[in-house]
Amino acid sequence: MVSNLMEKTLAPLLRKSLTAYSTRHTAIGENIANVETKGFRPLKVDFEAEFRRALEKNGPVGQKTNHRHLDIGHTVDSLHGRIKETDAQVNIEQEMADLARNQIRFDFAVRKLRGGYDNIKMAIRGRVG
Amino acid sequence: MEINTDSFFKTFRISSAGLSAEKKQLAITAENIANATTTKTLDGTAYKRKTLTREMISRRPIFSNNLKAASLQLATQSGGHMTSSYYQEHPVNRTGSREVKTEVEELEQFKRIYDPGHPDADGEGYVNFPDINVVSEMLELISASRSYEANVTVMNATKSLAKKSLEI
Repeated sequence: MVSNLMEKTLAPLLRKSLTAYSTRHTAIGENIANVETKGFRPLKVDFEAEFRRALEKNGPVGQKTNHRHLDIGHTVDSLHGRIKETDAQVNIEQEMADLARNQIRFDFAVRKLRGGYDNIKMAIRGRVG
Repeated sequence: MEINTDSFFKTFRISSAGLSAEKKQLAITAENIANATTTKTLDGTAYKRKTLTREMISRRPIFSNNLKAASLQLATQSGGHMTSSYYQEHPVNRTGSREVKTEVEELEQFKRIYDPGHPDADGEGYVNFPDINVVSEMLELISASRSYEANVTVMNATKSLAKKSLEI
């Protein structure tokens, strides 16, 4: 019942984005640590594009009744945020900016998620605080 | 919550590897500057300029190994079931391995300067000085210390993310 309640809020989306942000953080950390490494190809996690596609809900989306079912179409469940190698050079300023931005997004998602849980807590108690 | 704390610890490991590489770079640069005019070392030659090279060695995952491991991955439904030994020995490796090799190289290059009165001068009156440009070493020093700071920033950011995720 409670888990059902949680699935209807933004929680699944936020959970996915937190995972993607922490993956991206690792990728940025690796890029910065390897600024001077020859042959290193910077890593990138492009989660936002996938995220947008999932929100637009274009095309048919398969409903999963078993966790072993494969994803059809872009749904929140199919969001991953995988690390990809790019062919560019490491740009340290860009990486530092991405680090700061990613950190703020992570903080935002944490705060939003916590807000959701606080609301449910409030509803359970029936009073504020 | 499926936030991967392992990923944070991985970031710590990566950043600390970066920090130690930058520290090594600083030490080598300091050594180069300190020995910019050393004309005789223990092996009899002038000091050789040292450089730190960092190179990425990445190995692509081997498809046949992964296929074998994935197809031999038997489901275990009871604690008493045995797991396939091939899978345990060769877990599916999707990303391949990526490691950074750091190496200190010595450059066999000298500046020949005419100074017959120098105690280390050769028969023609030339002295071998190390091929070190102090200005470019200073640049190297600044760049290494900035990179060090960048890694410290990442480390602090990781710390704050890990702490933040405990607030959920």
